[in-house]
Amino acid sequence: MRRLYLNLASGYGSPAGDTYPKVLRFIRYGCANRAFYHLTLMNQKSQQKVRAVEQLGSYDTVHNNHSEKLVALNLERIQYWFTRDMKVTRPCLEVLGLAGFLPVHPRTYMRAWRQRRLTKYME
Amino acid sequence: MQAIRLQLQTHNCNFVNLTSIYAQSIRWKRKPIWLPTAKTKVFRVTQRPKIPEEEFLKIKNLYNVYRTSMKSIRLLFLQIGEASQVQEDKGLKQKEMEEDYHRCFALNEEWNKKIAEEREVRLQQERKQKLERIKNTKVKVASKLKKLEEEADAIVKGAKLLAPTFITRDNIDEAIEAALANKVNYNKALNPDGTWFIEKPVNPNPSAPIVDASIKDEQKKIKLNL
Repeated sequence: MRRLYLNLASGYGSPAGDTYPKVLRFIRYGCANRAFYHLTLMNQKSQQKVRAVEQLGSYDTVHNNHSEKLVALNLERIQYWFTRDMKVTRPCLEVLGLAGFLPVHPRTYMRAWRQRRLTKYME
Repeated sequence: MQAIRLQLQTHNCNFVNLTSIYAQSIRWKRKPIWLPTAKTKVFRVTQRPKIPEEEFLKIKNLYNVYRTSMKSIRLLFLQIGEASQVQEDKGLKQKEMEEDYHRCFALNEEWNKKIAEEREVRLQQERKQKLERIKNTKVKVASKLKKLEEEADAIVKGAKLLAPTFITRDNIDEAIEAALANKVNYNKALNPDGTWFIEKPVNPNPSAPIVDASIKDEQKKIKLNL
């Protein structure tokens, strides 16, 4: 049986004097064939879907009526956690780069030119 | 265990009792992670992706630039964090606390004075009420004592009146004789009409002394008053 996650998605905060290394990562919620990600700050060694420290945004992979994939970011808190020296996973770095918060990630460029090359090849 | 289960799925194992409640056939979605690489796939080597030289250099350059800029951004954020940490001045805080204490003390003094005045008025009033209460109580107690004294006097009076009828060492013989002479008969009878039949007293010795009826009446009256 699949383990239920009954923790608050919005997180429980970090206790005073907590020096455990933190990481900003996407956690996959949603369901089968319908991914929905939470941009979550967690302890670096903790698994997915355990008690999160803080939720800093969300990412809907399915585009809406206007062909948009919506991303929500709590930039204030992200800035705060950057001052606390957190680690950030690559997908998060890509999204933050596209949002204009950080420089654009090289992988974004790579994907773009490869996609362009593919479409050209298909034609 | 898993291997046995996988075999069960194919139903070609004769050594496992399928009628047992512990045996159940399971359809696996995928191979569990703890199973080793299949024998046929052990020596398979995945080919490295072939990236053109030009593109490789481009990617390398991009990554170098990205890492450098990220490092500087991270350092900037750390500096901002350090700068935003407010340093607490202990002396200033102590001074503030002292000032606050003095202010609170003065305010408390003021309140105490105000309350003391109110208390004085209240206490005076209470004292007055208490004195009045004591006065009333004294009067009540005095009247009660007087009443009790009167009652006691009445009892003494009654006793004094009865004193001649008391049986003492001197007149005990006479009293015995009188009692023997005046036999009292308590036998009574009642008929359905409601008339009492009382036996007439028999006085065998009429010369014996009889208790004076007037003294008995007096005694009765005193008892009733009590």
